[in-house]
Amino acid sequence: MSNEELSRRGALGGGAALLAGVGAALAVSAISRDAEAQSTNDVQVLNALLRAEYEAQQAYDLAVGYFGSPDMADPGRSLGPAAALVAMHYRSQHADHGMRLSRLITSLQGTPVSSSAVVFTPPAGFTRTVQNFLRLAANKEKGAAVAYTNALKSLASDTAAELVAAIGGVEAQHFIVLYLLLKGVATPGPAATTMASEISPRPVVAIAGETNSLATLPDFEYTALPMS
Amino acid sequence: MTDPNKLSRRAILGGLAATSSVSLVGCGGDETPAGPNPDITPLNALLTAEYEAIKAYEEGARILRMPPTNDPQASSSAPLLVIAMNWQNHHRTHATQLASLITSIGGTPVTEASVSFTAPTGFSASVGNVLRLAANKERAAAVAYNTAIKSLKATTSRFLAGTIEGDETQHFIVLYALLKSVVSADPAGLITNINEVVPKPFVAQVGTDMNSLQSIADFTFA
Repeated sequence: MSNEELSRRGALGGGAALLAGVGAALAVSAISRDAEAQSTNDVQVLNALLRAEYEAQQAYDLAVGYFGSPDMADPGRSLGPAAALVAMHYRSQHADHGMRLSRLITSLQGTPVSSSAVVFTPPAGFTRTVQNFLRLAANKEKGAAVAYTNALKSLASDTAAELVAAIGGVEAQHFIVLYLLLKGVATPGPAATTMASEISPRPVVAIAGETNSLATLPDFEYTALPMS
Repeated sequence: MTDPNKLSRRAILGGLAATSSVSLVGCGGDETPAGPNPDITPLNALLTAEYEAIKAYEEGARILRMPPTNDPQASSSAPLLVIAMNWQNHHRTHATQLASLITSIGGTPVTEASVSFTAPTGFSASVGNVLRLAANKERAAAVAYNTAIKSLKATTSRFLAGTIEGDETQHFIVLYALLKSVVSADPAGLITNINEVVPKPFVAQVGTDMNSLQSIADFTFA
């Protein structure tokens, strides 16, 4: 092999290595840009959900205020005390959701929207009655359950997807209880005022390592019928 | 440069460079890795649970059709049977969508015939135990879907799991709230609105059917 040929081989080999190096660098750069874009998208999606959580808390604040002393002419007045307990419980779960979303957004290098930046305005046609507050809550919870579920179509982060599904499942619970009350299928039961927190016993469905979830709720035990 | 050996070597070197780029991009993107789609196994586990739920509701329906004569809740079995059949239908709809997704990503869905249901230890025939069994199964299903979502790779898979999970959580909370006496059924309302007890099988729309909470109109204010 001549020196010239050796040198040409070396140049070829070096060129290929350089090409591979440039290719790898470009790919890494593309990955980095892709990851950054995905993270930015996740933060935007999570912030929209966080905003809705703050709105829900403010809506429940208004409802709790009204349920405490409904208008004397309000036909739903007798439901006020039980409705207040449920509303306070749901509100506390939305506050829990807000904190979890906020922490996740921060961990993704984003800036969570602040609660003070969100102002809830009742929708057009809304007047203060017990039934209207229950209707408003049902509409909001349905909208939230759908929004959380649809967010799964675009979230890239595994952790974000897990949290969003865990919260969305609870919003669906809130919705169906309100829906059944409003449809007249269900009424507050004997334990409605003493065990209101059991109407949605955990703030999330399942998150790895989280003890305050449906995953840790014990199963019901089976009972035998009395002897006839 | 006419030596075919040199051309071939260049081609190989160039190919390696290109391959290194592609494989690196594949590490961070959504490209499907070589081999079976990783979502097939977890989706098939969820499908198996759906078939188990269908069979558990069959067992429950059998008891609700003819509750024991000494069952103090026997009088409530008729409306519960209607609800059980509606919810069994939800689970069948979930199974159909899961099987379709599994097939679309190159997998083979488990068959309903391959899944059997065995009543848990301590279970005996009564209306109350049917409610407890259903609540336990629905809670477990909701948790299983949520847990699976973190491991599913494709957003399509995650979305389907999420939209089903929200239905399982609705089934669960209705049963749980009844069993805990936090809510009671209103007999008159139940007769006219029995199909409203968890009215849709999905939370967000799947396909083009009006099969989700999205298709339920908002309440209007009076």
